[in-house]
Amino acid sequence: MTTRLFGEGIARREDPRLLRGEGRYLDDLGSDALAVAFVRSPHAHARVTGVDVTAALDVDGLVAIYTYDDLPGRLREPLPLLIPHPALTAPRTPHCLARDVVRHVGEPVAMVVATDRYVAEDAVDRVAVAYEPLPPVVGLDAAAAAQRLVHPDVPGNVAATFLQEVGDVEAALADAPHTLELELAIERSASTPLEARGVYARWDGDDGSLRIYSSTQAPTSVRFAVAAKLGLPAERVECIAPDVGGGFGVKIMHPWAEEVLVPWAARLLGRPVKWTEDRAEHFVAATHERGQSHAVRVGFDGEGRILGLDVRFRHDNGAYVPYGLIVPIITSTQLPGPYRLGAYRVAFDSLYTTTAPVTPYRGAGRPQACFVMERTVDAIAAHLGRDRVAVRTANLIQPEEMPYDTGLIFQDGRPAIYDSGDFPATLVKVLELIGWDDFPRLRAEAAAEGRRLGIGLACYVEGTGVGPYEGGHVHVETSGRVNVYTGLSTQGQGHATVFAQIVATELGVPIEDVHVTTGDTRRFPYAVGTFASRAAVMSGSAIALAARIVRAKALRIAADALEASADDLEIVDGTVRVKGSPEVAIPLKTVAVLSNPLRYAFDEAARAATQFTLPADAERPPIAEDDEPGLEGRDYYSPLRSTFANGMHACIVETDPETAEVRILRYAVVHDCGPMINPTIVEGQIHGGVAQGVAGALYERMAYDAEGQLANASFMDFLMPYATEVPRVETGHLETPSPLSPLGLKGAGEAGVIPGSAVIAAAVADAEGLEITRMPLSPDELHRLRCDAGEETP
Amino acid sequence: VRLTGTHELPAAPARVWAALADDALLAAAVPDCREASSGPPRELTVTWGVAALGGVYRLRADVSEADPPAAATLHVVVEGEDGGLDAAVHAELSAHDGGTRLTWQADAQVTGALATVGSQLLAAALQRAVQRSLDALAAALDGADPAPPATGHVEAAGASGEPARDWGPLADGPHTGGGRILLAALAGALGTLLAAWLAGRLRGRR
Repeated sequence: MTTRLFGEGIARREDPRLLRGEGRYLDDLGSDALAVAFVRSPHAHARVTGVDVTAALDVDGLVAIYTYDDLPGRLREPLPLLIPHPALTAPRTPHCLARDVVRHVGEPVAMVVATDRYVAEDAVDRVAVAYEPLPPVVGLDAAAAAQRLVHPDVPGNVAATFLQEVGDVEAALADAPHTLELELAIERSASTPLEARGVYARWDGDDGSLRIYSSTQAPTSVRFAVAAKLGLPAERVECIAPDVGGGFGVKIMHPWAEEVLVPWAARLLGRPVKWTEDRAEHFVAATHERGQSHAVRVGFDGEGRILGLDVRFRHDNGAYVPYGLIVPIITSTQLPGPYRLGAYRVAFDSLYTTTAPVTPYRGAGRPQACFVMERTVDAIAAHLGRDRVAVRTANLIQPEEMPYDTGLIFQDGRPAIYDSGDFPATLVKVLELIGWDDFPRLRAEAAAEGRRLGIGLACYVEGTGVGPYEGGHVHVETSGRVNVYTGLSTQGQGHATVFAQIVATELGVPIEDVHVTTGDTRRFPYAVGTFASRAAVMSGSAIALAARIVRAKALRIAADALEASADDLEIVDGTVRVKGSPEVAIPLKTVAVLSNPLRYAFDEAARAATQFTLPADAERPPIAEDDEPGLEGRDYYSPLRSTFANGMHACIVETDPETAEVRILRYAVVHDCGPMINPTIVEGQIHGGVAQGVAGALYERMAYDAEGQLANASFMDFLMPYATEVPRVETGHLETPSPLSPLGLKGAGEAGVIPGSAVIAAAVADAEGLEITRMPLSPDELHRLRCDAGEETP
Repeated sequence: VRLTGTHELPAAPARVWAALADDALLAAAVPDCREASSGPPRELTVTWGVAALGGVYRLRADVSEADPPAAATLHVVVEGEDGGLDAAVHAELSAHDGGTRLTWQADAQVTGALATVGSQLLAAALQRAVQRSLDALAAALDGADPAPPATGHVEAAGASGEPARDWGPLADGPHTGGGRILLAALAGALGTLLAAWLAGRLRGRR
């Protein structure tokens, strides 16, 4: 046994189980459950005028069909607005089942319960819904034109208008020696986890309790939301996130209609009920992100220093805004990146369209922000005829300016203050990694062979580890097993490894003894959720604090037993010993025994803690007044505000002169998330993020047609990159600790995806000598850009 | 659950009214009527089911108002292992195109497991039941053999003749217990209900 320490790139402890196929995902549970399928709207916008289930009566195995009229109490109300905001003046959220009007393809109209999914689908096919089509509103132009309304009581289709300004932008622009205007847009995409959503609920009629399993990023909040909807005491409801096959943001949205309906049906029917979303459903019935168009005005001096930046953008929030304004707020506040802006004004309109609602997808507004900022910086360089690196260098915030107050209010309602980071050092490192200075030679050599190469650079700052808090609980059993609980859930991040590394390090125990449970309200009831690159920062810190409580208690008990001072003790490999005299020692598991005075000897360890065995001090109670039995501790971490990670990507692309295909030759990442608990896992996060960044830059989009039909709602048509399209990622790390958290951690989960569109657009623009203002960029679109530039004919 | 229906019957209102009072005719017309006892209130035992639920249901009909052969208002209680219905029913008969137009509406409070299948499904099952029973009654009035149903689904289920308790529990899966949904039984139920109510009322007035 070895004590694995914080900072080692050990193999993920969860992988052997997952690779052997022993994962327990939502659909692996509940083999005895009734199955649910939904009747979903085929129209983008329509009035439901009738539901005829007569033909479904003949389906053998049918159990129930529910429509809005069947819903009781609070299930009749719209689903909650999860994150209210003063600027969100016209919030609209969906009903669990369509009440009268459907506003996107895939909106649930009726719920079918049957003995199995095949039967349920057969019944779904036989439910005839009468629709009176209403005019669709697709795309930001149609939404802004507002000739058709998504919600008749929301004029202009405007859910919210929000403005933040730091300094006097108009004055700055008026005084600037140079100004530029740009129009920049990013298309819709979606998280698209390999495992779609799913909910499984068991009602225990004997004790009136509900257990929900959901493929979610927020089991604690699902628990409270469902309890509230069903009118149950929260104490009677438990929610568990089992193995979750990816989330990438879409599963932070909750409670989904399905998440409320399935437990309701389980309770109503007194039977276990399960719904597993299929891929076709997920494309249209879950949520999307990214669709935004931005108008930029920038003023700068002859060195390229930005004196004023004015950004107005439109955010396509889809049919409803259940998750509030988080995505456009993040775009607004993260757009400045690592740059010191003279004055900055950002305003957005969040607009309704008759498409799937929008909630965060990994990166959450930052890929758009980074694309806008980095295209702007490149445009400044091009305008001045200056080097792109030089313009960035002129604008970078310097390490000695930390903490740097951007003057903006971040997504958590708190000031966006960069707590730490060394942006110039990051830039130097990424330029070295990609070989920036050598690129002209490379380009010339390629050109001699008739090949077109381009190089791009993109920088970002990412607010991570948003509050309000997470908690951790560490418990040492008398066997020496260490149980670690935290409330937030896991979707592949390797929490069972990194949280165990933290506890092994803090407590001085072998990592093999540490067992981590996440996302189970039975184990830890207080939590927020896994999003915003926050799990390591929030739960990691809380778990470290909890482990320190356990360590202090263990040392106190051991000090008594060893007749030593606690200050002279250390814990090594699960043994408490006197520093310098390792033979004076007591195993931690024995300390656990001593921590819990017993009357009954149920095993050998317990025997040592019984009343005639323990040394007795007749003058003291077995448990001191301010003490508790057991060797365990619980603590919470609640940061003052978010911590800001940062990084820079650079890539070299080759564009095919004939086919306009873009090939990524090299991709370099320099990444600073503070001290890395496990560098291997951080790299894995970066690699996955880059894959999604490449996807967003070159492949993935939600191809809604003018009628609001999602034309590419399958993996045949929605292009997800394979390993063949994802470049080898070369990484370098800085580890600038955050002063805000006990371990100095910053988040790493989303970083890899953020600069994808920005850096690839920059490289393609460099290769082609064209302006790239919209992403993703398909070969067809690049061909058209060449045509527009007169370089090719259509 | 709120239900409405309109049906054409090939006999004058007076004859329809009388037919509904005829135990023998009713028993023949309603394939799933297992027992009928004269009232008032009239009581019937029918085999009935919807979705995965089904079994033997006892029906009781009390007539609160009647205007023969034009209208009747009834209170109907249905009870079975899976719950029941408590319904206020109003039916009207009018001369129409040489025959009778029967229009009816019912507001039913549903209890027990029956209340868990969803109101649309329950309504659809009841609507179809009434349609089929009245089709059978129409056939009887026409002098035709009432047994063959109009839509072909009734026979299989109604003829299965399995006792209710042999219908396995829900967990048995879709392929046991033959005729789980037993639409014919349902048809019998509602058709019988209407018939029983009207007949019961008639009998009470004699």
